[in-house]
Amino acid sequence: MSAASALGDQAGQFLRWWGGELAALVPEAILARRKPKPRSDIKIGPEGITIDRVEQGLGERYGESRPIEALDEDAWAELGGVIAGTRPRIVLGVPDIYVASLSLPAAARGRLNAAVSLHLAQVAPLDPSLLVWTAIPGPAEGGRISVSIAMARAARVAELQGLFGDHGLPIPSIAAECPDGPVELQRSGAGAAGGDEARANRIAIAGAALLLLSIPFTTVAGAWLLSGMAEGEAERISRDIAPRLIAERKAERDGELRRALAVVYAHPAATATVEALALGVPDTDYLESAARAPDGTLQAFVDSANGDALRGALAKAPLQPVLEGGEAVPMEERPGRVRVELRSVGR
Amino acid sequence: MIESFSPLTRRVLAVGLLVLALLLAVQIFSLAAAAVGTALGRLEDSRFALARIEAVRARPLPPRAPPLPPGQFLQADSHDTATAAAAGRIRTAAGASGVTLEGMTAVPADPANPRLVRISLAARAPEPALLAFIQAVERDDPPLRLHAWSIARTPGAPELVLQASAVVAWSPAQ
Repeated sequence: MSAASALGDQAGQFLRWWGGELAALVPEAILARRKPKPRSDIKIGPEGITIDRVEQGLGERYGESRPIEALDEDAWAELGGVIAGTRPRIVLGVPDIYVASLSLPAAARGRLNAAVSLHLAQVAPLDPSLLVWTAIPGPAEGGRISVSIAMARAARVAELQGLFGDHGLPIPSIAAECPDGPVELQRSGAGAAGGDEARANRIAIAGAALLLLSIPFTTVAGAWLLSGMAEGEAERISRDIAPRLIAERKAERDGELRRALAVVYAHPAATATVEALALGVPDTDYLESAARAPDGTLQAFVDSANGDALRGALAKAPLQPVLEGGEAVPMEERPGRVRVELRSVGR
Repeated sequence: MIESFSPLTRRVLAVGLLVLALLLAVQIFSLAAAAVGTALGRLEDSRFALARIEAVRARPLPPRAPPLPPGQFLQADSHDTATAAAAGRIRTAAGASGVTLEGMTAVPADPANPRLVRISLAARAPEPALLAFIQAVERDDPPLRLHAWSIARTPGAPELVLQASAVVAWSPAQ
């Protein structure tokens, strides 16, 4: 017995115990709603066959006085009709079943099947490899546990299952008639069609579960791969465009500088304007005030002896923008003089 | 071993194991979800970066412009340094011309024209000194100009009052 099989045995036992405990927590009301699948127990004895068909809690019994090997086609068709739509099970009794007892240390309970298979050769009437069997644990007493082992000849089981297969009926599972009711010996025979189908189902379910579980891994791996590609491409392009980025930054800086210089050079220097104003006014006149607004508009007030002479002098002055004299307003505080407002034109 | 426990203990043990198994399943699921989220986030980021950089490559090259003569602007590390240099020039000019600077304020940088320094100033002096001051401020390179200004006589005094906004361009060392 290998360590792996012992471990598997223990894991199976644990899962059975756990499942049993949890199933016991399910309320009766819910369990009652589940309809048990109809089943047929086919009891095969030397004197004939009895079929107990149980459907929705109701049982029906059919009898056949011939041994199973002696059934003709009509009888098989009738048997097929009786077990149709149910889960069939062959229940073997004496003499097909041989029951032996073993006393094992209670510690063996955790890995009963492994322990029994070690001792089977001592109690079995045949080589254990020719048998199908099941171990039924009994009560533990004084550190030991008594185990009943129900066994049947594998060849007999195969023969019976083969008869069903030959007549196109579903392969029944095999159970042994025991005092506490039938005990399953072997699921629908190894190599039989039902077993193949069940195994194929299990493989399909496991495959689907594996595919579902692989979704995060494939997603992560795919995203990792694609982002790696995108990052590589971005790095390559950024190397390609590095010179143009430098040129763009320089062009942007130059643009900013040109905007600033546009403001600096927007108007003539104040020196030139003020000097031109001062020189442009006739000697008899005085500049009272002068101003240039941000938009370049010039405005000046001149204390003048003669408005016309002032306008004539300004027309000759090298002023930019050109100033135009407004109306001459006589000054009350200085008789004989006028105040002229000058404004730039052409803007 | 389990058989040695009482039925209640066994029941509690089974339920506890179920809760543990469910918690483990939730933990594994959230770990997987987090890993997927991180991976997809990185993918989204890298694709966004790629799209951005492709858009940069696709935009037209800037037009070639003649280089700007270096004497046209102040070379400074920052707007503040440039402002300090311009203010220094104004103060020097005022000192040389015998003009009283009544106030000088730096205007904060305009985001629309970040390379322009503006300084508001007010000065008072007799006419010749004030004209010399304006000349001294505007004379040297890089050009510092009085962009908007007003000069007025003070009633009953021989002095003129100048209020002006001086501008100069600056650029960090290329």
